[in-house]
This record gives sequence, C-alpha cells and structure tokens, in this order.
Amino acid sequence: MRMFSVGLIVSLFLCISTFSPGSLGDPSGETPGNPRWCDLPLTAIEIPELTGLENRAISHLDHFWLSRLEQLGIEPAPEADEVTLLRRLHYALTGLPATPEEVESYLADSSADRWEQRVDQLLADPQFGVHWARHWLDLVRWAETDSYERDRLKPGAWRYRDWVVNAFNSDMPYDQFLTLQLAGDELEEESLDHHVATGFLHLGIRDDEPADPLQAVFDDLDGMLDTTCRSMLAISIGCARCHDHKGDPIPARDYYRMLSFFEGLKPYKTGGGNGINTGNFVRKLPVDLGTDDFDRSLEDWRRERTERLAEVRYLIEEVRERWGEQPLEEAREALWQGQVLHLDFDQQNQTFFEDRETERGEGYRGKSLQLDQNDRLLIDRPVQDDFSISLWFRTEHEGAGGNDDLRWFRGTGLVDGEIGGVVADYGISLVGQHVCAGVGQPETFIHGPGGMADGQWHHVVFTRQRETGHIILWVDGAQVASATGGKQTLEAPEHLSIGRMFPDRHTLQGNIDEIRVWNRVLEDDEVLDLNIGPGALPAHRQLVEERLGEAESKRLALAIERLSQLHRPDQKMVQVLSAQERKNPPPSHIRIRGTASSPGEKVLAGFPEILGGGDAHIMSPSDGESSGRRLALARWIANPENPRTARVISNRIWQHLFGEAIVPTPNDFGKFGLPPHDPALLDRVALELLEEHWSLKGLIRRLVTSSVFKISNQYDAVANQKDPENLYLWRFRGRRLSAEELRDSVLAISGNLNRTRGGPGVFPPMPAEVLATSSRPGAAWGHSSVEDSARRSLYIHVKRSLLHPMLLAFDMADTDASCPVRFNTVQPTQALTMLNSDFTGEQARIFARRLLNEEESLPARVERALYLITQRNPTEQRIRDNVAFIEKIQREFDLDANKAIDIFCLMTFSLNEFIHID
Amino acid sequence: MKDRKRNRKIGNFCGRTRREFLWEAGAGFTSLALGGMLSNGFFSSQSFAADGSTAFLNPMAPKTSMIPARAKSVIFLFMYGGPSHMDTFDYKPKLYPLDGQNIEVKTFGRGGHRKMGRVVGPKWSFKQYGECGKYVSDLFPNVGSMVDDITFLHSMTADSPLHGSAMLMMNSGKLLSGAPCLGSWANYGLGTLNDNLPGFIVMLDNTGGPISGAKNWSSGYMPGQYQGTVLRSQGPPILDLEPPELLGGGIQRSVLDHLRSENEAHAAARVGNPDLAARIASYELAYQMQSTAPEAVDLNTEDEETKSLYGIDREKTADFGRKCLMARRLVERGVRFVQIYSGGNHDDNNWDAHGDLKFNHDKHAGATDLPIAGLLKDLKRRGMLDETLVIWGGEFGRQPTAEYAKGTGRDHNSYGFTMWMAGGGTKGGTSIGTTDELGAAAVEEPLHVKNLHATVLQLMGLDPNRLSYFHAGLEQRLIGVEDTQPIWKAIS
Repeated sequence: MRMFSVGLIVSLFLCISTFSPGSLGDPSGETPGNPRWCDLPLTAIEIPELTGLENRAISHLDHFWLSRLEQLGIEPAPEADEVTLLRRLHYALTGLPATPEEVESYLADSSADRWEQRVDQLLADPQFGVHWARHWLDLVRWAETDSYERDRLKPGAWRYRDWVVNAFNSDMPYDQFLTLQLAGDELEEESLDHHVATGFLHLGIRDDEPADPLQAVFDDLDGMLDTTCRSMLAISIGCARCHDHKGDPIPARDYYRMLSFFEGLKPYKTGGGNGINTGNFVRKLPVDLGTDDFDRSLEDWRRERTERLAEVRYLIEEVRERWGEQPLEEAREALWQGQVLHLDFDQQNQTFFEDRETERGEGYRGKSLQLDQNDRLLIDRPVQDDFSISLWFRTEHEGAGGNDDLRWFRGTGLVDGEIGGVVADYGISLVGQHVCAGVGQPETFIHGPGGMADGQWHHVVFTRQRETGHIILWVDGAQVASATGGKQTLEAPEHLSIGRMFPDRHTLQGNIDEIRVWNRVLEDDEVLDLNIGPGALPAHRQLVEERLGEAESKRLALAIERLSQLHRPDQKMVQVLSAQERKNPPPSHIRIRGTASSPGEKVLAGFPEILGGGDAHIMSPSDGESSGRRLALARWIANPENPRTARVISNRIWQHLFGEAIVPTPNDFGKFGLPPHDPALLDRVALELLEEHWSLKGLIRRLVTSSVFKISNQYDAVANQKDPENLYLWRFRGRRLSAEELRDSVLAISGNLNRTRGGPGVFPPMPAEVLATSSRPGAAWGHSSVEDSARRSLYIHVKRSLLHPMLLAFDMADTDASCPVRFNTVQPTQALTMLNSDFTGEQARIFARRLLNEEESLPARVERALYLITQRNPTEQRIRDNVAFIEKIQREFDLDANKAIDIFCLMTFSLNEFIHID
Repeated sequence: MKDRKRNRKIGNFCGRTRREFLWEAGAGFTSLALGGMLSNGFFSSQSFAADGSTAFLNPMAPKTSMIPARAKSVIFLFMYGGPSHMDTFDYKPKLYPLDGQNIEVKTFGRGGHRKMGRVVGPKWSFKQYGECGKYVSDLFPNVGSMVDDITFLHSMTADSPLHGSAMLMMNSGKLLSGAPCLGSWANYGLGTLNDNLPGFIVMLDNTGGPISGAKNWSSGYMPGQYQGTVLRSQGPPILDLEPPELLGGGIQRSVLDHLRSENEAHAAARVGNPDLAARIASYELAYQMQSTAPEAVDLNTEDEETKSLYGIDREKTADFGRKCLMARRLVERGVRFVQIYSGGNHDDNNWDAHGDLKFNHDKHAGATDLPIAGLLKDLKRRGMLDETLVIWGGEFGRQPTAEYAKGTGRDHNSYGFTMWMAGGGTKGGTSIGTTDELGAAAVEEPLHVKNLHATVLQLMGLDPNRLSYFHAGLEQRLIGVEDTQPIWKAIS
C-alpha cells in the first residue's frame, strides 16, 4: 500500500503549505521567519563540484561527503581491503559474520559489480530484517512484559516484533511503516498485520497497582506520545508535560494537543487493586482478517456436504418409496441398542424431574425444547460408566464466557453434569461461538470450532469410555476433539441440567432437540448416521445393495466416506496487542503541572507550533470503532512534506551504517540535542530516501555502495589534527559488536546458530545466580530446547525485571525508555562473561567439535578457527603461535588434546579481532 | 565537569559542553565508561583519548566531592515488605488499649482508601534504652542498645503504599521504572575507591529478590557500570566470577597471557583505537577481581568474637549476620554503596505482614536485630562508623488498623513510617518528626523519601540539588524536579 505518492521531488517541495511554520512567541530565537534547520522544508541541493577528490566519488552522496573533506583539506583514508569490507558489510546488513563459503565465493568472483551483487544478496537475506528490526525495537522500548511487581506478560507482544522484522524484510515503505504503527486499525483496508502493528502503542511499562490509577493511565499515554515524538520526529516533547519546554518552543498546550491523538485509546487500567484491563488492548482476531478465505472455505464445505447429503438421501428415499419405512427402521435397530434416554420434546408441556413446565418451539424434528432467560430442565443422570450423548441445538446468541478462554464451565449449558469445585465432572456447553466440554478430569477441557451461534441447527455428540477414559467430541458429524478424561464410575451428580449450567448459571437462549443418551460408546458411522439421518450405517449399505444393486451401494459408500471426512472449517484466532478506542473519547484538557486529576483548559488534537501548528483534520473511519485521531496524526507524520520525518530516519540509517549519526542525538533535533555535523549531507540523504519512495533498503543500498562506506579506518596524524573527532569521516569508525551481534556470532562460529525466525520468545538457560534475583526464582523464566536456545538474540524473551545477563553486560538497550544510541562500554564484567560463563564455555566445546570434524591436523584446525573468527586467512606465524599455545597448555597442565582445543576455542571468542569491526 | 556545574544555576539549560551531550548520544567515547575500573596507571600514558586532543575523563575514578563529605560509604539495610513502625521504633502507648475497636482513621494501602478500621494494638512492649532514653520495642533489644548512635526519622512519607512503585521510589526516587538507583547516583557522583570491586553491591534474601527484581538496582538511563552488582553470600560471590572447569588450575592465566599477545598484535596494527587497549586492560582487571572479590567476602579471616558479634554462630541470625559482616569488609575495601535485603519473595518471606503480624515480625526482626547491632558496634569500634552511613527501613510502614476482619495483619502505610540512620555524619541519639497518636500519618516535620535521598547525597559530599545527569532532554536529578533539602537536623 502506498500512502503517498511522492512523485517528482522538485514539485513536492513547492507545496509546503502544511508545514509553513506557525506564529509563536519563541524564547529560543527560532521564529516563524527563522525556524530551526530541521523544521525547514527539504529542498533540492545542488551537488557540490569536487576539486581534487573527484576520483574518490562513486555516488552523488560522496560529493557531499568529499567536498567537506576538501574544504578541510583532509585526504580520506584509502579504500579498505576486500575482506575488511566484506566483514563490515555482512555485519552492517545482517549482524552476522560471513560464512567461509560466503567469503570464498566473493573473493572468487571477478565480476565488476560483485560488491553490488553481494549488497543485493544480503538485503534479500531474511536475516537482514532480524538485524534491522532490533534498531527499531530499541527506539520503541520493545519488551514483552509490563515491569513492576507482577511484570505481566504483554500477550502477543512477539507478533509486533515479527511484524517489524517482516516490514524490514519486505521493504515496507517507511511512511506506511509509521502509519500502521500509529493507526493500522483505522485504515479502511483490514488485515491482521494492521492491528499487530498498533502493538507499538502498548509496549511501555505499566504499573498494575499504582497509587494513583488515573495518573498511571496518563503516564502510559505520555509514554506513547513521547516515544512517538522521539522515534519518528526527534522531538523531546515529554518535557512540556508539566511546563513549557525550556529549550524548544514547545508550550505545554502543544503537548496536550498532541496527547489528544492518543486519548481515545481505552485505558490499560480502570479500577483499583492489581488487575489490569487486558481486554482494552488485546484482541482475539482471525489470522485471515480482511480476506474472505474463511468464508470461502466455509462455503466450499457447505456445498460439498449438501451435494453428498443429497446423494445419500436420494438413495434412502428410493428405498423408502418402494419398500416403505420398515426396512430402514430395521437397518437402524442396532443403533438404538443401549439407548437409555430419548427426549424428542414433541409433546407440549412435558414435565420431567421437576414439576415444571417448559416451552416448546420449532424443532430439528417435530418440536424442540425452547429456552429463554431462566429456563432449564433437570433429568436424572441415566449413566455411570460408558456413555454417549447426542443432541441438536440452535441459537443466535453467543454462549457466556467470550471466545478467548474456552473452558467448558464458563459457558452456557447444553447438557451439564457439573459438580461444584475442582472435581472430575462432565458437561457440554457453548462458550462464545464454540461447543466445549469437560471430560471428567480437572483442568482438562476440549472444544470444537467456532461459528456455532449462527441460528442454524448443530449436532453434538459426546462419548466416554470409562476403562480408558477416552473422550470424543463430535460436532456436525465430524470428530473435532478428544482427550483422556476420568476413569471412575460416576456417582454424582444426581441430575443432569439441560440448557443451563449448574447450579444456576448461564442459560441457553435458543432450542435443544433430540437428546439421546446411551450406556455405550457410539461408533463413528453411528454418529454420522445420527447427524445426516439414516444412511451411514453398514446395514444401510447392505440394504441398498440388496434392493438397488451393487453400483448404488458403492455410490452410497463413497458419499458416506466423503461425508465422514468433511470437517467444518475452523477460523484460526490469535491474540494481538492492538489499539482499541472508546466509543466516545473524552474531551482533552491540559493537565496542570502534569497532574492527571487537575484538568485545565480544553484542547483539540493538533500539531506543534514549531512544525506549523494547526488543528488536525480528523475523519472517523466508517467502521465506527475509533475516532480517526491517530490516523490524522499518522497522515501528518508519514508525509514527505513533514520536514522532520525523512531527516530523522535518514539520520538513523546513517548512524547504523557509519557508527555515529550526522545529528549525534538522533532522538532530539532540538536545542538540547547536538547540531548536525553536516546539514547538507543529512538533507541529501533524506532527499534520496524520498527519491526511493521511502524504501529503506533502497537508501541503505545507495549508502553502502557509495565510496564513503568503503574507506578504511586507517589513522592519519595530519587528518587527526584537523578533525580529531572524525566528524567528517576521513576514516571509517571501527566499532565493537553489539550485544546481540556478539552472542549471535559466537553461535554462528561454533556452527550452532539456529536461524529460524518468528514466533514467541525463547528462554535460553538463565544462570541460577540471576534467577535468584527474582521474587519468584522458580517461576521467573521458561525453558526452551537446546535448538531454540541457539536462536538469534532478537528472539530471546524480553522480561523487564529479568534481562539476559550477557546482553545486559554488553549494553543492550534500556527497556523502559526509547534508546536512540546504545552505550558502548568496556567493563570487566564483559571479560568475565566471555571467559567464565556457561554460554561461552558450552559454545567453545561445540566450536571445538566442529573443528575436529572439519579438519585433520592441529595446524589446520587452528587455521580454520581463526578463519571462522576473523573471516581472514591467518599468517603462518600466527598459526604456529597458536599451535604452540595449545601444545604448551596441553603439556603444562597435562590436558588431553581435545580439552586443549576447547580452551583455545574459548580464547578465540575474546579476540579483539572477533569482537571489533574495522 | 562538576566544578563547572557547581557554578551553574540549576534550571538553566544553557552552557552545556559537547561532552555532556556525548552521554546523551550514548557515550561515543567508550573508554570513558571503562573508567576507573582500570588501574590508575593504565591510562597515565594516554591522558588524551586516541584522537589526540580530547582529554581523557574518567567517570569511575574518584572525584573531588562537590561539598565536604561526611560519609565515604553507605550500607542500606532494606527491610523489604514494609516493617511496622508502631511495633518497632515508633512507640504509641495510646494504641494498645484501642485493640479490637473500630475507629475512624484515614488509611490507604493494598485494600484501597478507607475511613474506618479495626485497631490492632502493638504486639510488643517497649523499653527505654541509652542515654537518650529512646523507646524501642522488644523486637529490637540489640539495636536498642545502640540508640545513642541512631537518628530516627519518624515522619517519613512516600508517594505510594503499593510495593511495586514504592520499592522503585525508595531505590530510585521515581514511581516509574527506568531511573537509576541511589547506589548508581553515588557512584556516578563520586567514582569508586577500589578498582577491583564493583562500587554498588546488592545482597538479596535467600528466599529470592524483591518484586520487580533487577529494577531495584538498575542504573536506568545511566550506563551499565553504575548498576548494582548482586553479590551472593555463599558460593562464587558474583556471576561468572569463578573460572569454569575448563580454565581451572591456573590455565586461565596462560590463556590470558596468550590472549594478550594476540590482542596486542592486533592493536599494534590499529593506531588510534583506544577501545582495543581498554578491552585488553579489562581482561586483566577481571582477572584481579577474581581474586579480590572472594577475598573481600571471605569471612575466615575474621575472629570468632567478631562473628559472634554479628550472630553468625546462631542459626537464626547467621545469614543476615554474614551479609552484614561482608558489608563491613566491602566498605573497608572502598565499596561506595552496599544494600542488604532483609526479606525477599512474597508474603511472609518478607516484612509484608498482612496476616499474622506476630509471626511475621518475630521472624524477620529475630533474624536481623543482632546482626544489625553487631554491624553498628563493629563499625564503631573500628572507627569506621564516622564515615559509614547505615540506613534502616522499608519501602513504607504499616497501618494501625487491620486489613482483614480477623487477624493481626496490617496493611501498607506510606502516610507515615519510620526509618533510621546511623554514622556517616548523622547525629545519633535523636528522633526527628512524629506521626499521630495512632501512627497513621506523619504530623510534625513530615519528611519525604526525597529528603532521605538528599541527606544521603549531602553526607556523601554531593549536593542533591546539583548532582544531575542529562537524559531525554532534561537534567535528571535523583531528587526530581523540585529542589529538595536534606534533613539538616539529622546531620551532626
């Protein structure tokens, strides 16, 4: 989906009306006539002529970079060697080291565009999205729990993470990327992803038991607004929550006008105590939302069933017409064996156990039991060991309990044998749209497909075999669920309740008919026969064969076989962290000094004065589910005319490729941030992003194929005199691997990395020392398989109160606030982690096994290890030194040869050549 | 940096230097963060960063304090769960006869806001101790013997009576998670006195951490070297401190020597990359920590009399006593901030006495009274109490009334509760502020958690209103936006 067509850049920058700076008394000196650099429209800039370094330029961007160096009289470092570049590129795009095969194929490639080919190959690698998603997740403080006492799981938060990965991989245009996160639910076009994206709004910390619940809800809204403004606009608007911004011309009024965009959202908490309103921000949605896939498959199912049923009925009818009812009745005789109860409800005002009249309505056959409000029927429980129950029901009302938690006892009763408390009891109920059952085993529940409250008759059969405890649930002739239930002889309850849950809970509003109970377990064909009317039993086939011939009998058998295989399609539903608005959003107020309970002047949703101000043009989406406020905000941000949006993301892309952003404070372009090293360069990068129609891959491709990405990080004393901080990139900035890159690389090099993408977070082993810091050490962390524990670090579950110690030691992003630039510390705890942790020890052993498998001699193993670690052939001397080291420790400490290699492998993870990129 | 800030009026956002912004930008100068954890000699040969012109600043190196320091170190004895003040140090004689009566009293706790409640009379009697004649309950007879060294703060208040946010408030000054803790601020402001030990150490209860776990010793928006390090009282004291079996028996030294030669060869070919040298040095420092840290917490060199003083020879008090003695040894070795938790996990595993007050407080006071008194006595006789500030208290106190219809349990109370301080430049033999006759709320000289924090910083030589860290567009301060006074009356 394209939100905006950019068209010609030139014409674009002529229409800047939306963003003409508003009028504002401005303490900082930035006035309507003199806005800050980043609030000026982006305008095309002439490409600078180079006078001396022109042979170093590959792209237009290079002209901007090189012209600054020319002005400073600095010669840039020469191009780095090919292996250095390859290592740099692989890490920049995927966060993983190049494999030996990848290095070799590159070096063997003599084509002139091998670099560009490799760039395209890496951009197309799904690991690209895994790596780049992390940059975005840092900005939006993505974590999977709420923090505070219970540190609750945010249901389905991982889907948002996967959505970000997929967005990067599919090169979703950045304007769309932002729009979906702010207001995916407000777009006309519906899809599951649109809702998943709005999980963005629910990622913050949430106190489940705040001293002041209203204030806590506003803290949450503040988190949304502040994160939006920092991540998308590089505005530190949070400062204006309590008072006018001290640095930038942002009055508190602007803050509350912007906050209004989010105030339509349902609050995460409405009452006291420690409960939160999960239903206000989590929805259960069909995976194929917005498509008609499910409707089509349902239609297919109906059509085929109707056709097959017609064939069966035609044959049965023929028998009936020619030979009467009797042979058909005889064929069914065996079916009624063991039937101990049959309620057809055909008599009016029949009373049962209680002296109580019940209503009759139109039935599946004849009349039916019609239930409303407080009706129900009690019957003596007729069975105790093996049994089968068959019934038909029809309703237009969803059962109690919703569609999220399908435990039978929460629903509306059909045939209920519930006994109070957590005991081995049985029952069949309707929960939401699903037929559900209790199976005589506490905490074991089964359920059928949804779509049952559709006003049509549905057939339910429940069978129980006492000896094995085997339970089967059938809906509309198809087996939909089974379980192992209790194996006891039933002595309770005394009665079964029809149409209502025991003891006096939810009653069906609808009809029940043809309740039959057997003291035996029905066979598959018997269930189908009950479902379709006579025709499915072996006796029917025999009858047809005798009377109508073998051909017709085969036809019947085929139709029955097909019917028995036809399963009503079930719509798969998933839990999604997503935006939900109140029906009538309250008016927005300034909150005096940031105190939620002190509303001041009323304000309307609108934009900050520094970006032109103005009220938002809000249109409610036609589905009536939301106010349209957030979509108005999204349209304004994700707009090529917004002077900040393209600059902010371009600055970040530059940051992740070149080590430091052009504006070194990427979350704050205001007075409290730092000015750009080179405003023209940043504007040029932003313009190129717009030329690429917001394609981030396109921009990244342009940058890494430019000359500026290829220079070496060679030191030069003269250049260092002139630009000691290397602001103008006369040499490449080397860097340490990030926490995730480091862990992933250890796994990759040991040959152990699991590159599977997506799904719920994984739980690699957590040291006991770390678990002991939790208030519930035994329940604090999950367990994942060895394979899952070797997934990329992005997929490690992020629990705010219990972070992964290795990622923490290597400066993972703070989880509670937007993190634009990670710290880059050197600490002894990092050395302790690399040398002494269970993780590195285990990976060293796996790495050593890999070497033993792949190479024969010790020198070859050492060579291979160093090659894997550095992607470069080690010198002969270096191989000899390391072989000597292995032999030395083996001799001195009397080690067996394999253990000495384990130790060598562990050592290699601490090589600076591994941990740092040139 | 500090000197310049001293001359600057807080609230004026102008005049910042490039270096301050660098913190905001993620500390582009990575070597800064390594800081004083490296031996001081290491960087003497390169007092400029490798760019050749930027003076090397070392935030973890000891810094000149902003104001004269009274305390070098802090030991914070955190009574997690919230001890009852009227059953420990805040004597309320009028509360006893009201036991069982329903009275009008405004309370706010886990059970929400209430106007009426059934009084639970204090379950212990009080006696006078010391020259100052301070009343202390029978829960703390040993601490009672030290009252002349203790300054009681009876009128403490906090912003939340609910554990999650109240814990964060007591530790970081904020109700919202994500801010640095008191120990982080102390280390940020003062640097470390011992290169080989972490500057902020936390010892947890054997039953588990407090709720919100690591948030209670997090460095929040400050870099990782300011976060608390969890130290265990048994086994290897710090995570990954002990070499694994693979590197045991002296192999590790050989590995480090080889690693060093490899990394030096690598660095030699890369002029102007200070990170590389810093990382080489960090491995040596880690190696030193491996021997220093176990020595610091090895109690075998302590004589029996000292161990007995801390109650290590008694089952009930051995664990907390061991932690208190370890704290003294850590402080002796220059650790700035040690926090010991009494209580962990949930329910009666900490001071959160909602059910049976008698059982709960007998248990926790019984485990801590002797060790705490031992710590104070030991610090005093060694001449260390003057420069070591000991703080006692929980995240809040408890209500005079029962939470439930039956039983003696009390609900949380942040309207008024007691904490105390000893040593480190505090007066001793003093009580500041009062709660009402029921102990329901602070009445005279109400104090806020921020005043306590300001006092700690002030005593450590840091001006609470000037110590700031630039983050997210603001000069963040431990004490928050409003200037806050230390509790001057507590300071000698």
